[in-house]
Amino acid sequence: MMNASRIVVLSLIATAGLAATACATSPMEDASALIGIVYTTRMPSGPIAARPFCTHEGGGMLVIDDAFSDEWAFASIDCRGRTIIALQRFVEAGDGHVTWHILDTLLLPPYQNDYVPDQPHALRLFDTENCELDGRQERYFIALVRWGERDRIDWRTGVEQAWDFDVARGRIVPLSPKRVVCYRPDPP
Amino acid sequence: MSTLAWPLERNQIRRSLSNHAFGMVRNGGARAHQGWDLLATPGTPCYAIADGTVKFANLRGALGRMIVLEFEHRGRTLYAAYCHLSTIITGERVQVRRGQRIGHTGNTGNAASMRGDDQHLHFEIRTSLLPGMGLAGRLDPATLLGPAPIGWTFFEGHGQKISTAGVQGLKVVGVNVRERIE
Repeated sequence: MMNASRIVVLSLIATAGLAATACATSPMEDASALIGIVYTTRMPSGPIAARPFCTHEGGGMLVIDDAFSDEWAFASIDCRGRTIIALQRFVEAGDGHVTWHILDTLLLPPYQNDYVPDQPHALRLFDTENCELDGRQERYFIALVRWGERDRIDWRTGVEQAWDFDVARGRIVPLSPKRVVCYRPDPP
Repeated sequence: MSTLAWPLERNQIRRSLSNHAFGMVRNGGARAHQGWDLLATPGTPCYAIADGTVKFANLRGALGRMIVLEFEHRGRTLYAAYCHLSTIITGERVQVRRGQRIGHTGNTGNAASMRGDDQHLHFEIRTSLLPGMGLAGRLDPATLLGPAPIGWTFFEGHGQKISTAGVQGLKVVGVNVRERIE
């Protein structure tokens, strides 16, 4: 009985230690720790087994050579309220689930996901759906944008930061905002 | 070639107004609407219109939670986009079957202010991977599914099909009435 109690106490201490370690990591460390992880996902909001406080929130196949790639994708991962973008490579698929290998990650600054009427100038995450790179929409990239005065004139938003997915190097790479133009979307 | 399914069980253009159908139908013809807005209270199940592969399942700006399904139709590769969803129950690169439930409607993205009869599924048919602004890279869903259901013509549940009378629209099995999916 004594031994059992000691085991319980030691287990609690170990669990508390792990929790403390998890909480002690910064968002940047969370992003770094995801690199190299292989995980399986069925649908958005599922936890990533190796980092259980991180959830896979969704993703999409990258467009390469004018076709959706079967091999390369990006994912949005939430770790304790912060969004991390991952560049990931297909490993295997089963019945309704897919296994991915994360090659690189990008910690995004906090941004507004919802269209809150009283925050018209909040930072928002856009992608090729509403943006052009060098005047074209040929490959998938992401941009952080903010409404400006100009969107009232020609619907263009301000572009603060943008990133591309370099599958040859397995990296998420910054793009010059000067190369990117994004447009405020039409009302629903 | 199998017949396409409809994205919802009950398919009716929002408020039965043509400016919620496809085309240059907004701002007196000056702005585009890129698909159909199908009336749906949040939580309404959405179905894959064809066998295919999910290419995108994530939040996407103004379109909110969105699924893009790649499918083959009459020798063409097309993409069905389901937007403003509340929940997505599939993932990127997952293969789905026609009639499979893949998500639930919602008010995400710039549809957050939608209430009552304005709540909807924004549904597009795309010809392009990255379709761009305006109507570029998109088709009128009527091209595939038949005339826009302005005034709903049928209710198709799993195991029941109830016709309604005295409303506009066509009711053609295999065209705008989804086959029963068992």
